[in-house]
Amino acid sequence: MSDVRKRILIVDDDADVCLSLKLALEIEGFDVQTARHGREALANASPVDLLITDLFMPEADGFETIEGFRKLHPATRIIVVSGGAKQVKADYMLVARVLGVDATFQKPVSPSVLSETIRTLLGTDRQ
Amino acid sequence: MSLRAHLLMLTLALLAPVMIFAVAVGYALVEQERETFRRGAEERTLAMSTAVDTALASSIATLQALATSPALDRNDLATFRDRAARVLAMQPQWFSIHLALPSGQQVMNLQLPEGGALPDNAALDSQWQSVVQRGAPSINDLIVGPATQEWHFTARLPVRRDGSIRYILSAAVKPDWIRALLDRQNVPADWVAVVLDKNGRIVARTFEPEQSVGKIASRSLRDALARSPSGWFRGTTIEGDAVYTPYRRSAETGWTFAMGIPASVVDAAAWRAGAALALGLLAAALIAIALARAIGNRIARPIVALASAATAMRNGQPAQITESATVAEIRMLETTLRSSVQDLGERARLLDLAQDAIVVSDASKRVLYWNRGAEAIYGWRREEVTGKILYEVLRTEFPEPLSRIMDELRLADQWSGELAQFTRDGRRIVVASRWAAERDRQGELARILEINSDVSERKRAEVALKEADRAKDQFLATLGHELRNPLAALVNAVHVLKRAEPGRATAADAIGVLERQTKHMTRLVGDLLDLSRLTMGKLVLHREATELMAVVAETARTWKARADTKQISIVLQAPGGAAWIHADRDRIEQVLSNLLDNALKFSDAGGQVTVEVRIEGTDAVLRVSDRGAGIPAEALEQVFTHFVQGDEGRSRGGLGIGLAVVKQLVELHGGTVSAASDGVGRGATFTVRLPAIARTVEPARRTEAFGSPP
Repeated sequence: MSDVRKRILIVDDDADVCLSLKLALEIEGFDVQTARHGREALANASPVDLLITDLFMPEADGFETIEGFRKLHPATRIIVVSGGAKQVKADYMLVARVLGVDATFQKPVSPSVLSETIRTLLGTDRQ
Repeated sequence: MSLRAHLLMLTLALLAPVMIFAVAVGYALVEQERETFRRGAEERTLAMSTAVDTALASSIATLQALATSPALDRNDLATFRDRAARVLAMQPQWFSIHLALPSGQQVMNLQLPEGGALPDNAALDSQWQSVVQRGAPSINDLIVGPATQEWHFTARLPVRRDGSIRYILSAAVKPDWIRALLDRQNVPADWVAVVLDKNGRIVARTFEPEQSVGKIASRSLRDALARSPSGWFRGTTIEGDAVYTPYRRSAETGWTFAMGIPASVVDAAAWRAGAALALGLLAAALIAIALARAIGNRIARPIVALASAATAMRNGQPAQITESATVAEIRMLETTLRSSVQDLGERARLLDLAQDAIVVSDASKRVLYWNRGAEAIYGWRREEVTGKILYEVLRTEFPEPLSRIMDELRLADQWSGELAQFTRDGRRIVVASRWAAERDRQGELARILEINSDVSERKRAEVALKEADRAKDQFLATLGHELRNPLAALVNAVHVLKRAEPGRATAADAIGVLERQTKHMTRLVGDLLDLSRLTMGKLVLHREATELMAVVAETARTWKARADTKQISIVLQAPGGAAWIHADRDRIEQVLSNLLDNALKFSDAGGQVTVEVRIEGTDAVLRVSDRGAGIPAEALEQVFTHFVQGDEGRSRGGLGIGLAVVKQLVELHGGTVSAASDGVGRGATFTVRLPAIARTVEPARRTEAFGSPP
């Protein structure tokens, strides 16, 4: 495990999803913060290493959040974890990939798999 | 021109040549009649003329008998005078007898005394010398006797002795004798018979005999005599009357017999024949015309009846056709038309049986025919729309400009498409319309046949079905999302519990997540099952007398924790006290839970949700109001439909079945639920009305419920 704990921001409107993922990633050794929606996430002053965001949320949705981060914090890696297509006949994950996120997952995603992906993206493979 | 007139003309056409022929024959008959008459008159003239000749000859014969007297041989004039006197006495028609020498000197005259001076005939008679020279008996012309001063004529006979003429014996004859002769001939009263001497002087005449004797004959008779000794001509009498005249001059005496037959008599015979013929023809024509009329009526009446029946039929009135014609062809026509009328009647009734609107209009879309189906669909009666422009009455909305539809109709003889139209009471309906063109003899578009089926219901059903299908797809997508979130939370929590030390705060947090999310999923699945059961009518209520406020208070208490986490307050109000209903307590709890869940979901932190219970009339009313997101007016009707969620609802999670379950449960209790909102951002109010029942209950419990707001 790296000396400097990597900082992760989780954005999801579901409080329990936020809480449980935060607990899981903290156990994996990450420094985790949460936001209930995109606006709150963008208001976060301190830059993070990685953003995990849902796509559909009240107040600025996932797409706005992603664009905002790409502009404000170009170095921040982004992973989308979404409940899937809430709207019919549209693959929003594909849209997200086109927007240039680093990885996409559909809920529920195993925290182990998610951790592996995060480490790969941040270059902090477990020793 | 009517059929009767044609038949009459036919009759007259047949009659005309017959009449012309009849007139020709009639004319010939009249001419023949006139000829026959003429011939008869001429024969009679010949007979009369002969009779006059005979009479004159008898006078000569009497003189010849006297001339044989021996006294003349001896020139014994005294003896001869006696003898002549005896003869004269036997001849009453004679005035006198006298005897003269060839020189003309009379030697004896019975009218003059014996021995007196006697006249000289040569001086008195211009014809004397010719009588002496011819030496033959003769009848002289009429003269006025010098002694008698009366008209007479003289018969002279040369008396020969010893081979030469010794004396001329003469008898002066009264013209009356000839007249008597004429009178005996039975000449018709209005005819005139006349005898002329050689000079054309009237010797005897049956009409006005006394005045006529000695007069010169009429100019026309004298002219005719100059032309020919006998003949027939049309002339005038001396009195100037128009007459037909047969005449004959005797070769022996040179005297003429003539008759004057009044022209009117001769012509009248011809006229009578002509008139009889004309009358006959007229009668024949009248009979023919009357018969033609009678037959014409028998032929025409059924045809006229058929024509008026056909007209009635065209105007849509009942047509009466009796098969009564006597003409076989017309009877055939009647039979055919009658079965056609029957067929048409059946077709008309069939058209009226159709539930579709069947309309016939002219090229400018003016209504000519309108069936019962059209009356039923559009609400306009046939007589109200006939002659009006169809698309104006129905305010038709065409899928393309009408002119283009008409072009297509002219080109292809048919058109079909969907039209939007308005009924009489202003309802907008959609019809599937099919048009067919009817052309006139010139090939121009004359009428449009149109059948319209009301497909509004089908359209609505299609739209509703499409909407339901879309809502179902949406629901499935939503369900996936709604299940993925709790699953994600559960997976994460399990991951944490596997690694965290038991008893630590982290583990406790994870267990909290597990508890909440399993409860959430349980309620989600419960709602789904309830909706399924409600939709299929399989949910059974366990009803009992229930106090509404008590249920509300208890339910609100269980929601307090969740409200607190969102910093929302729930306020209970029961201004009217207890409200009893006959209900399934658990289901009423579920109704309120769903309404509260909804209210909390759409309220932001610091908001307030008010729950009110009161009696309004015969209803127990439960009202849940929030100050949250509100509902757009156009979405109010839809909120109770399952799977339907507003955009706002989707972003706030949930399946979109909570309110549908509320509605079904309330209606199952015999109540109603309605939603009201002043618009987006102005909050919403849901009102549940349930039939109230009368119940006296423990006041303590009510007080408790009323007195302990959460």
